Order: sequence, then C-alpha cells, then structure tokens
Amino acid sequence: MLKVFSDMLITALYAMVVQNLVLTASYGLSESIRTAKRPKHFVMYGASVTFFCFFTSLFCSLICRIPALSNLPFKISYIIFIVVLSVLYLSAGAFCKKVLHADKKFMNSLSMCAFNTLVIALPGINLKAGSTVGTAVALGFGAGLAFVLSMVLIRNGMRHINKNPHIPEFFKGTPALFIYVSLIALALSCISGEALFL
Amino acid sequence: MAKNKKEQPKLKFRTALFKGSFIHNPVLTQVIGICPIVAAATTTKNGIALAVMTLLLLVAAEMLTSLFLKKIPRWVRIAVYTLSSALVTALFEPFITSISSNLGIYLYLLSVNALIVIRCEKFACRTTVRNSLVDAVACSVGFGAVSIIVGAVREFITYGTVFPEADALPKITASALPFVGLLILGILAALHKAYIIRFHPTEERDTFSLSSVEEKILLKDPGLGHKKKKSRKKASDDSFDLIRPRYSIEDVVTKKTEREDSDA
Repeated sequence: MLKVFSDMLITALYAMVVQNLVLTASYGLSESIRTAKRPKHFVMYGASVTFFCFFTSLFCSLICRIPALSNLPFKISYIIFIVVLSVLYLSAGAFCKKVLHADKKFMNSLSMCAFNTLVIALPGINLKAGSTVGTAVALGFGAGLAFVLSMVLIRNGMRHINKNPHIPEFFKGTPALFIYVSLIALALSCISGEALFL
Repeated sequence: MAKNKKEQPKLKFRTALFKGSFIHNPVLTQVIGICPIVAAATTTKNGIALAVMTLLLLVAAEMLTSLFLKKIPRWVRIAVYTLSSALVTALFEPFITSISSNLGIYLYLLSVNALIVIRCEKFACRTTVRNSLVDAVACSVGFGAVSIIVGAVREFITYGTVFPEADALPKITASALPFVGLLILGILAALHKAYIIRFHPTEERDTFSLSSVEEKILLKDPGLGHKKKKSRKKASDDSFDLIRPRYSIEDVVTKKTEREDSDA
C-alpha cells in the first residue's frame, strides 16, 4: 500500500516539476500564458484545470480497462475521451449553474479550463504508456499542479519583463514573453535529462 | 437590434485576410493555439500538415457554429463543436498522415485548440455564414504560415535542409524540443512587431505589453498603475477579452453597424 502511494507521489511530482507537462511538452501552454496575466483568477483556473485533469484521467483510465474498448484504434479511443470530457464538463457546468448559481463569466472560464490540450492529452499519454489507474490519477493531479506552477513562473517573468527598461522596443511584450518561456522550458528540459546534441 | 441581425455587413475578403492573418496574427500577437506549433511543427511537412488540419477544423467549426449553434447557451455550445472537431479530425486523419505521419498525439489535440474555441465564440456565433468562412480562412492562413515557417526553420537547424531526404540523420536533436519552437516564435513575433510599428503604427496592439503611457505610470507610481489596471478591468466583462486585440475583424462588423445605426 505504501509503495503504491509512494509511486503515485513520485509520478505527480515528476509530472509537476521534473517533466512539467506544460513547459516541456507545451500542453495547455497558450492557456497558461494567457491566464498568467490575471493573477486574481489563479485559484479558480488552477483548481478547475486540476479537477478536469484528475477526473478525465481517472475516468478514461477506467474506460480503457473495459475489454471491449481496450483494443480500439487510437482515433476511436480519442473520440471516446472527448465524449468523457464533454460529459464531465457538462455535469460540472450544470452543477455550478444550478446549485452554485455561477455567473456567465465563471461559466466561460470553466469551458476554457476543460477544453484545453493539457486535459485531453492525459488519457492519450496514459493509453500509450499503459499506465495503471493509480499512475493515471497521479499524472492527472500532477498535470494540474504543473499548470499552476507554470502560471506562477510565467506571471513572475511577465512582471519583470514589463518593468525592464532595457528590452528593445520590438521585443517588448509578447516577443520577450516567448523568449522568457523558452528559457524556462530549456531549464526544465535539462532537468528532465533531454539530450540536446547527438 | 433586429436590424443589426438582418443586415450584417459583408467582410471584404482581402482586408479580412490581411488583417486576420497578418496584422492580428492569432499566434504572434494573441498567443492563441501555440501548443501544436511549439511541440509538433518540427519539420516543414509537419508544419504543412498542421496548417491543413487547422484550416479544415476551423472552417468546419465556424460554419457549424454560425449555421446551427447560435441559440444554444455558450457553455453547452463549446462541448458540441469540440465533439464535432474530434469527428472531423478522425475523418481527415488518413489524409493528414499521408502528408506527415509523425504528428502523433498533437494531430488529435488540434480539435481542442484554443484557436477554434476562441474564433467560434468571438466571431462565428455573432455573424453570418459567409463572414465566418472568411474569418476561418484568414485565421487558418495566419496560423498555418507561422506553423510552416517554424517547421522550416527547425528542420534547417536539425538537418541543414528544408526538405531533407528520408534517410537523413539529425545533426542537432535539441531543435525538436519545445524551447526552440518558443525561441523561434519570439523572434518571429519581434520581426512582426517591428514591421507593424514601421508600416502600420495605428494597428500596433500587443496582448502582453503595456502601452507607453501605462508603462510610465506603472514605473513611476505603482499605485496609479494599479488604479489604471482596475478601471480597465471594469470595462471588460468578458473572459475572452484578454486575448482580443482592440481592432480585430469583428470590430469591422460591429463598428460599421454602429455607424449605420447612428446615421439612421
């Protein structure tokens, strides 16, 4: 039991820090960059993305255990994953709207949290890697935390870039931000042990 | 209001193509849908495959939204066209893999690309089918051009040619990593910005830079800058406003309608 938990913890930490799925594989990178501009929404976005990552990964992993669905071509499996995510999103949306009386703005943000490349990439990664349910759940949780970490890192860089008067005029704003994110991605790629040259 | 709905002005194809694909390029100015470009556009062929698939998906999603989904609540609508995009991806997958077979999972991830969600929500659900088609083509051309350029540059770094032979061995493997894609995007965005500042200074809008006035206020007096930010936030009541340039294709439609209304 302890080994299972330690494996799950290692997978989550690996997906969050060592091979940060957002910065080293660029899943959900554009959402992360755009959300970094709005620090007040970090909690909502972070919690929602983690929720969708966790449950999509869990449900899709469970579905892949069904013998009739386990040997399907990848494109059919992928459509099933999208259906699972849509059902999860519509259920969460209906709950937020009817029970929590969420406003329009929240509902729009929820859709951006659910339908992004990070959330839907996880079932595919689990399927290709042949992950167990425990590993899939840990990967989902770690991916959500990776999204939060990337938002915080990008926000921090954005603040410094906007305050720096030495950046040339043409590189101010988006170009500088792209280069800043590429440097963080390079750092994380090196940590994860990627070979840069043959 | 009824008049506005009936008489949607037509977008001029050439203007929309120039503004939507180049001036307000979705990738370089608005940072939309960069995931497939950064991760999968590692060769010219991959770039072409991504461009073609994005064109097919965006045209299908915008047409569907414009034709049938206008009256469905926004939060439900997004699920519908994501599902339809997944079906389109599965349908055209053999054709795309004949162009390039090593896109992997990123081919399927295109169906949840932020570009599709944002263009459908910001444009297609508010305008006519024709205008949606024009917008879809313009945005796809902008996305595709960046994707092909990034793919070609990375391939040149890796193999030393733009279309290498099948048995060519890579010299530098790092160029396939996302950080190289981001670096190339940064340089492209800077070149794009330099061109816009030089030749179209009135169109210069950057999602992630402060205007010179705001910058001065923020650097000299953080308190004032904070107030300025707050007032700007009050004005926008839409989570999608963040990625919207101040002058985009949809503004051409809305401004023209407003002008016609005031004339009347």
